[in-house]
Amino acid sequence: MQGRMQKTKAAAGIAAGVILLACALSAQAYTINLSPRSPRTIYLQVGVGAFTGGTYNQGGSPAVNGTINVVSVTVPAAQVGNGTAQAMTTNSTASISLLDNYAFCNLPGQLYVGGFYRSTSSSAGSATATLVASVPANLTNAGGQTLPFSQVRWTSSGNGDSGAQPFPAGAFPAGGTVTIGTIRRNQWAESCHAYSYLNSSVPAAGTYTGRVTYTLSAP
Amino acid sequence: MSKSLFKSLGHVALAAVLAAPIGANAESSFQTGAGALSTSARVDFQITIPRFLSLRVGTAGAPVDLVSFDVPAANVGNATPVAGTGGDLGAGSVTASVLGNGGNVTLQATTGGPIGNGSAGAINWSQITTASSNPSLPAPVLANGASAGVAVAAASGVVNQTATWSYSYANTDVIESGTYGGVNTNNSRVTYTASLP
Repeated sequence: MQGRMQKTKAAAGIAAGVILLACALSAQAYTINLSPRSPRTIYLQVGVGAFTGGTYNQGGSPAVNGTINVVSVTVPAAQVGNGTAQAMTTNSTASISLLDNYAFCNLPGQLYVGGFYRSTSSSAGSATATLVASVPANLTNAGGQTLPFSQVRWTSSGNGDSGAQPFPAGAFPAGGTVTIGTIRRNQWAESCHAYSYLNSSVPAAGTYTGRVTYTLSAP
Repeated sequence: MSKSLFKSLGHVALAAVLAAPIGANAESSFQTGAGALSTSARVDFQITIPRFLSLRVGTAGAPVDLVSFDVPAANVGNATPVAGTGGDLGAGSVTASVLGNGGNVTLQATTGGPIGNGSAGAINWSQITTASSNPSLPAPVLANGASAGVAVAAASGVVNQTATWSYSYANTDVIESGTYGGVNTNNSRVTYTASLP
């Protein structure tokens, strides 16, 4: 965390005073307070996101990036169903935070999950935004065979972090929704998720796919 | 004038760099407004399971088990089956297991021909019968040469069956005395093969 604050100060230029204050107020890995301003905004990034005009600290604005990342694993034939969890990798190239260009996640083993909830004042709007994942019951292959999504779990960390992650470790349910974490009003929060396949059963051969939708909501 | 044009172009170029999205190749989204806000990003998950097939008959690993039959002199050829000895489970029985994830499995047994005694004597493999404890994992009927294939049905593309296969000598013929077969001699060895389509 200390290393990141130093990096942020160096990169922030004329906004250094503001950033120093923000660092002093941040409590856990990795969340940082934002100054309220208009418009009231929520921003969600899973994988590589997009900002225009620089990072958030450089005065940039969030943008839409519609390309969907893939988290994948090929289980070695000799280990199918042996109960040894298999680390998954991502095709995301998002190693840096668009808050401040800090090298936060390690590729290809980690997927960036983060965003911000900024309001127009310190009291306007709901106190928190909630990040929820909607999960299908199964991943499916071309033959219609299935793997339950509950076979996928993740750990959470971030370079330079200590303490509890805003989006902590967890596991997908076999269908339904799961709360990934929350972002407090006027705060940026981010974690790096490293997924693994539990590999606890022998499924039919094939390539199984499934899509998870993360939704950030501020009532 | 040249200098002025250069400066202008320089500003245009800088503006283009700042306006370009910093990231690409994934999903991000945002929403603004005073009311309830909600925005989504998606991730695709992909798990590739390769096709594999494993077969075990007898002791796990490299050892090849020996199953023997000792026919009492008074019973030679009287059609009373003779149970075996040996095998990883003893009493002429072996562990059989098939694990695969590529659909139905076909099992086949192959021998080199009738079991010999080193001279003119021979016992047809049809005299060696196999009983399976698991109807879902039947044993191939042994023959001189290649047996007929037997199917092991998959459930949801997966075969995971285990059985005890028990061997007997049918003892229906009076044959020349002697020791037939042995350890990989006189056509004594059966090779089992599991295959996927």
